[in-house]
Amino acid sequence: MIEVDKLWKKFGRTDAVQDLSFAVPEGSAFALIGANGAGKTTTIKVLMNILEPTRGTASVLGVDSRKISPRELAQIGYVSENQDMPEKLTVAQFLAYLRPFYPNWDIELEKSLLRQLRLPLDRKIGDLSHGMRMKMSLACALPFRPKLLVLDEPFSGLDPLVRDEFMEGLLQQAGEMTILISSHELGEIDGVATHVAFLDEGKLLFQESMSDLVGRFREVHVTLDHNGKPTKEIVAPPFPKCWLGIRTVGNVLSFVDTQFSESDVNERLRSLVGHVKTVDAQPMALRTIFTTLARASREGALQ
Amino acid sequence: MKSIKMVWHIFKKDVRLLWPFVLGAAGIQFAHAAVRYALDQAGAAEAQTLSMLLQVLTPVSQLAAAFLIATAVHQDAVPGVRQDWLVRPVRRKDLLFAKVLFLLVMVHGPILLADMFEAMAHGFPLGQALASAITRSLLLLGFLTLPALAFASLTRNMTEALIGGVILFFIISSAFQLIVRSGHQSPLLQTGLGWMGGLSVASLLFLGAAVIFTMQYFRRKTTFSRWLGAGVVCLGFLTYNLLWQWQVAFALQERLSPAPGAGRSILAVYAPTLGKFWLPEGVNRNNVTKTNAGTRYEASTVYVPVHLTGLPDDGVLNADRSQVRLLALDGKLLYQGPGDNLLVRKQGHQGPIFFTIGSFGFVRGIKTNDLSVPQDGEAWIYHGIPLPRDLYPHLRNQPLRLEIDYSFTLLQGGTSYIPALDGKQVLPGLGRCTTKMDDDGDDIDFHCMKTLPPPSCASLFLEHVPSGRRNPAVFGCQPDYAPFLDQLVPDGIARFGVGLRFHDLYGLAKFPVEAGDLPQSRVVVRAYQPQEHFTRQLVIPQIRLSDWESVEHTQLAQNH
Repeated sequence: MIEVDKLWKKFGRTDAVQDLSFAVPEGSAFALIGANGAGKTTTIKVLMNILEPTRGTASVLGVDSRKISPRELAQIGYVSENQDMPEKLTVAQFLAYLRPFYPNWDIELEKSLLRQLRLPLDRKIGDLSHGMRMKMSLACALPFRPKLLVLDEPFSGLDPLVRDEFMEGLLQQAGEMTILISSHELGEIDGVATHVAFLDEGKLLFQESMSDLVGRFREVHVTLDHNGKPTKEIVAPPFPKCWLGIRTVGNVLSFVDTQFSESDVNERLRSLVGHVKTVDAQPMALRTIFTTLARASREGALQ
Repeated sequence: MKSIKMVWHIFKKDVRLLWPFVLGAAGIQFAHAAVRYALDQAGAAEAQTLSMLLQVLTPVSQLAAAFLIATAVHQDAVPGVRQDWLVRPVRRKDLLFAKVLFLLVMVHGPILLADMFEAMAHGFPLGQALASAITRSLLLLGFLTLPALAFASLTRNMTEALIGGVILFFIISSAFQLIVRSGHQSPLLQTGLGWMGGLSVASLLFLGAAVIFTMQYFRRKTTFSRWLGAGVVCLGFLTYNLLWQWQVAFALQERLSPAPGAGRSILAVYAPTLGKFWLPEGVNRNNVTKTNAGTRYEASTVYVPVHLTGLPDDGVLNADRSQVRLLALDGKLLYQGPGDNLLVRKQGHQGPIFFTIGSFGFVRGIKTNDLSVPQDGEAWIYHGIPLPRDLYPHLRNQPLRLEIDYSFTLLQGGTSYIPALDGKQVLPGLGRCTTKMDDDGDDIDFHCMKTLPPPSCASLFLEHVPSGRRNPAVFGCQPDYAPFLDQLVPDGIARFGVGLRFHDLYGLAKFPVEAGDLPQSRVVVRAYQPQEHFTRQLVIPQIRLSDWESVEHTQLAQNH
């Protein structure tokens, strides 16, 4: 559905996106994750032919992003937190304006979305709250049953109630749709994304399926059996690169294992730190995985 | 078909969003037209207020049009990455055509209607009113609105457009000042060929706008387009001021001559037997005057006697340009520059000849009936050649070869009549004309309006019909050889007129036709239109400039 190959985008001397390659499988919900300024929005704007790539290629629906025409755009829904819409049109007027551009516009679906999202039809877009605008943006992106739905930071600044309404609206219509969603928090796409790619300072750090990601991250607490020796003598660098956020309190060593494997955890720990009394490995929430990754990335611990 | 529907669809959206601005701008255009109309009807008392209002409304109406265009374009701005239309299946050409449609219907529509209604209110028939409104609309399209649309497409919002507009204004003003001070103004300026410079700039702006539209709407290359826009402005400026060559422009004008061959028999030869030129009273050899050709020193100006033949009766011969070359006898070029503005008018079959000396800023009319008695088609005149003050002393006593290249236009016309008091009629070549007594009671105000180019020259006088007495004629020329009315503001109507004096309020002068004669008098108007544009060369193989220095009337008094 989307193929990105060695994509670069420069703004002056700044490399906003560097050598980015990833693929979004058809029918997946692909999350582009990264801190603010990581290059997520730039990547999406290149995919939508709003920006031209400096180098490399990107294709969307099998078409080079630079050649995306109204035919492709009629199959792509786009929702962004920073989309300029005609402020003086009412919601109803804007929907009426958009309809003729989409041959597959389903008026019944539009009505059902408006009901579900509880949008005030006669209110001007300029008078809508941020949450309402995002819901309206979604209501404008779904009635033509797009093959690809691109959501750029859709949850940013939404209160939990609106976020839930938004998600409900989205999930009910998702069907066979491929979704590309960008967010600066993994937690936000919990339950939505099937695949994830992590961007940092314009570079792709990894991409994988959500199940693999959740499966390999564990918060590990190891109680050491140090026989009176100082903990510092037993637990000393170098540590494995897959350990992040390492700390010791008394005789307890804690870290995040980014390559956790149930079968060989005890054996690996013994080979690294000697005698181990107990090992407690807890699955991590997506939000915690994200913050750990972001912190490690800033500290240069991720390679 | 689908494309037309989508263009209309986008257009309707813009109208829905901008109708208050559309109404406001249209209101300004109609108010502008109403003030123009009122000013044409007003007496002297109201005219001053209305003139001031018109001076304000004219730029305001243009700014209103430009503002409306920019606002429409910014509804779907091209630069930037946040606009909603970028992610919608909107065809770029549909969007562009929708903006052009908005420009034509919502901006030009009211201007065209206001111009048309104004012309019809003045009594012009629908066809003429419509034709003049369309002509002005086309001029506005080339000079103002289409460039404004292209300029707006380079900006994201009104703030950017305003800042860009102010910067552009200062750059153009500075460049203009620079050109004026350096003396490299267009050779077409203040000649009948000025329209070519304007038309070439409008064509260039039109082409530039088309390229910017392509680059912006189809490729979204804003940075490139902004440089391109700057390039077009510079090129327009250069085209107008520096690139036009007189010879090329005049050759084009020659091809547009309405009556080719009309000036075939006109010749100009050196006439040394005529003797020295007597300066008109009030002008002496110490005169230093500023003209459009630079500073003119009477002391270093010579007057070459010229014998013209082949002049038709009641014809006007205008030297649109005369280029003078002074060469040493070995062929070395010593000086090259313009001669005086020469305009020769023959009044009647054997009537007096009038010609001019000087240049804009200093022009004097000379009547030659005391110089010679012209035969059929003949005229003896002098052509003034102002020379640089520092060069002249080195040249004045040398034997030199003098060459003058003339670019002539022969103008002819017919005579029309209109009652001196409260006349109101259509005169051939002059349009809808009126006469009325002025508020002071010493002039007959003759005024005409025309939807086509006005006559280049006209002579007028008051004539008492029963006795045949005539007041001195008033003659004026403002050559414009444009094949259409090249008038951008304030509207598509050419206005021209003159006050014909019949009474001296101080009692010093007495006129043959006086106030009591007016009910039985008429205004005799002769309107001159260009017939043929042609070139002639006058070559004097050997001349000594000091032989042709002028003589002052004061010297005559001293001699006596």
